[in-house]
Amino acid sequence: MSRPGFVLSVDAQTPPLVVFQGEKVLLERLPIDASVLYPPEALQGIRSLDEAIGRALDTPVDSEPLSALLKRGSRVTIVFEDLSQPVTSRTAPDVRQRVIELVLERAAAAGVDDVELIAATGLRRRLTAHDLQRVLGERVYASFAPDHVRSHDAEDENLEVVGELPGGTPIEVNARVASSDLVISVRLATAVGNEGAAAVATKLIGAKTARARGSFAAGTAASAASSDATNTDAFDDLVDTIGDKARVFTVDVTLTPEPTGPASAFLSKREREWSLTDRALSAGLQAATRILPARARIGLAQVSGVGYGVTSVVAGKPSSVHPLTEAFLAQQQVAQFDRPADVALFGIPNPGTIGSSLNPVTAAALGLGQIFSGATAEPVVRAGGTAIFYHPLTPWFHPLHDPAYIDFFAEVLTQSTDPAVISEQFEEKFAADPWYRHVYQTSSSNHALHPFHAWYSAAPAIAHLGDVIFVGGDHGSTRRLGFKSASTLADALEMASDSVGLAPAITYVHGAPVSISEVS
Amino acid sequence: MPGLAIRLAVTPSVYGLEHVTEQGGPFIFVANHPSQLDEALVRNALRSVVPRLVSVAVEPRSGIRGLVDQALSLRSASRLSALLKSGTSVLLFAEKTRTDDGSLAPLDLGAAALGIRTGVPLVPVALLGTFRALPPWRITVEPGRPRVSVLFSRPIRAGSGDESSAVTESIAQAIEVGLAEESRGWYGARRSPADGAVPRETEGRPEAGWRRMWKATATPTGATRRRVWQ
Repeated sequence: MSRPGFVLSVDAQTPPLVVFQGEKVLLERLPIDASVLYPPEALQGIRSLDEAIGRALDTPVDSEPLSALLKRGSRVTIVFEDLSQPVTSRTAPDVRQRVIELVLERAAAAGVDDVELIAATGLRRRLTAHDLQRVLGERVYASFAPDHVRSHDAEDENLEVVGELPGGTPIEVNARVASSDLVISVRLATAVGNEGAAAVATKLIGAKTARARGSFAAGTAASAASSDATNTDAFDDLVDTIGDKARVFTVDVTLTPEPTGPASAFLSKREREWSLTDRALSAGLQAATRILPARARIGLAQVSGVGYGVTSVVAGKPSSVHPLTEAFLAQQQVAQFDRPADVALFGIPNPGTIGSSLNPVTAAALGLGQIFSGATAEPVVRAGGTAIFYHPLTPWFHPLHDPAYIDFFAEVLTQSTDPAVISEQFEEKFAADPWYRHVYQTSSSNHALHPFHAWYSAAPAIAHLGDVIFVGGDHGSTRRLGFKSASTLADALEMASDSVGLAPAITYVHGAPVSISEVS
Repeated sequence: MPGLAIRLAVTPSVYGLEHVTEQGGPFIFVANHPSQLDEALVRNALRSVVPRLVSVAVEPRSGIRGLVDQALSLRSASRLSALLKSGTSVLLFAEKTRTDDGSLAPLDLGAAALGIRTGVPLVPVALLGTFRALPPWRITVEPGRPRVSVLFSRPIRAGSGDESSAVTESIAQAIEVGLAEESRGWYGARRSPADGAVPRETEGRPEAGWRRMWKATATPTGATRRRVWQ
């Protein structure tokens, strides 16, 4: 059990608090009487990882040990998380590699020849050879490249139908996965809800299925029905088996929500408890932030933003393991508070491990996603309240990964920010464009539907809130997204006073949001 | 300084160091010994993880090193046990003899016996490419910074109930799997024992001496670096 979270009431003695703003880390003084919501402290990482993984594989939940499932001549596919989850270490092997090595050692001992490794990318960009090598390690990659290790291709012509969505759209999944005897799924989660659906198949579906499942109409219908306990998902049948024969064995790994490396651990500590070393590191970081240009600051984040600890490893039948993982994360990470505030403050950091800044659409979707699925179980801000985010929203897009985002920002958001209008007028055009399909398949670009789904994910939060203000946000791009920009917190509170009054209840959610890696 | 000299002379790759870093020392590292480069290479790989390390070879060393071994009684099991108790790790080159082509010779039972006696974990270490980089007939390392690899396997824990021959067998197998990685790849090396195949290229049918030597000094055929226009 980790140290529980608490709510701090700001008084005159409260030191300036850490607030992430893109690649910068600010020290902000909050108004007197504002509340600061500290999440529970992260657990210590497991020291002997090999032992923990080996134990999970040999004594799984509701399943035979992995060695008993692996048989000579069987067709085995290992599905692993892509870079939507952070790379856990800069110097030591990534935890995905550690798990996959132990799985493969058991497969080798059983005499399995037909093994393939697939990155569960969904509609996200397909991994490059370099990315795959970074995640799997040089030796595993060299053993299976180039034909037996790859990313999922949502536009592949050879997908296999394994079911049907409520609207009648067939559920098409990766053919290799559906035709396997055993699918071993290696999943990572840093926070509640971060792991995704119980069924790994949701990350291995074709673009048509993903479009029908992630459409704005489907999203609103799902949120309307979310209070209904009998609401079922078409993917519920694909949790433990995919198709007729592919049995799924999952290995769920939970990580600390923030880097625990020696250089950056102080950022998640409570400021009142900072040691002299922490203060010195903070002063150094502030100085570096002031002196370094933006590009170098990203490099700094890349160095410091690694070193995630592994807090648990559970393996077995997915329908039994998934609830255990969710409950573990909820127990460790959900913060408690008394009542929703009028104004909520959030910092949005840049992802530490991907080496680039977030584009404005992704940053907004990541920030607004926090309103409902962040560190608290309930929205931290009341309906009609104001959310204040810290992010520069620089209109910069990754030239390789974000071509669809560039056009979404330039062509779609200038016409409308209403998800219903966007869905009706633009989605089909993007989905059918052969150029986006080409760059998705060949140049590691996000799929054309990715910006649409990101924007739809922010829609419930936008509908819930009265105002959304970005402190330090680029004026042009903030306006284009339909939000307001302010240069300081005082200005932002002044702007919010129209709707929430002159003495609003303010809550600052301390720390990084759910996922600080690439947004899924 | 020796670390810099190693990096200037060869291109070292180290794998499996996480098996060592995750556990507290001391350790008994048991390695094959194809070349004079081996000790410096292992020391360089372990410099930040295992600060105190003494090395001993089963086959008596010649020259000053032999005199030092003798003066410090490093070839005595009780002396090594005392060193391990004080927290110093031991690097053992446990082959009974040195082969002329750098391949793995049968291991002495002493390493396993030391592990059983002290309860210290035994870490098999496979050294690849060092024979090619510095064969016995050369004084300096082959030019062109040849690629060499140090592969640490998972530690083997031996207790008082274990047979030293069985423990030696598992150490030898781990080293052989490591050595087979060069020709069969990581997965292939682990896959071979499931069929009862011997991963070592040299076992099975005896080969002529010149063929073994030819193979041991051949330039690896795999791509050594990524080429842009490929």
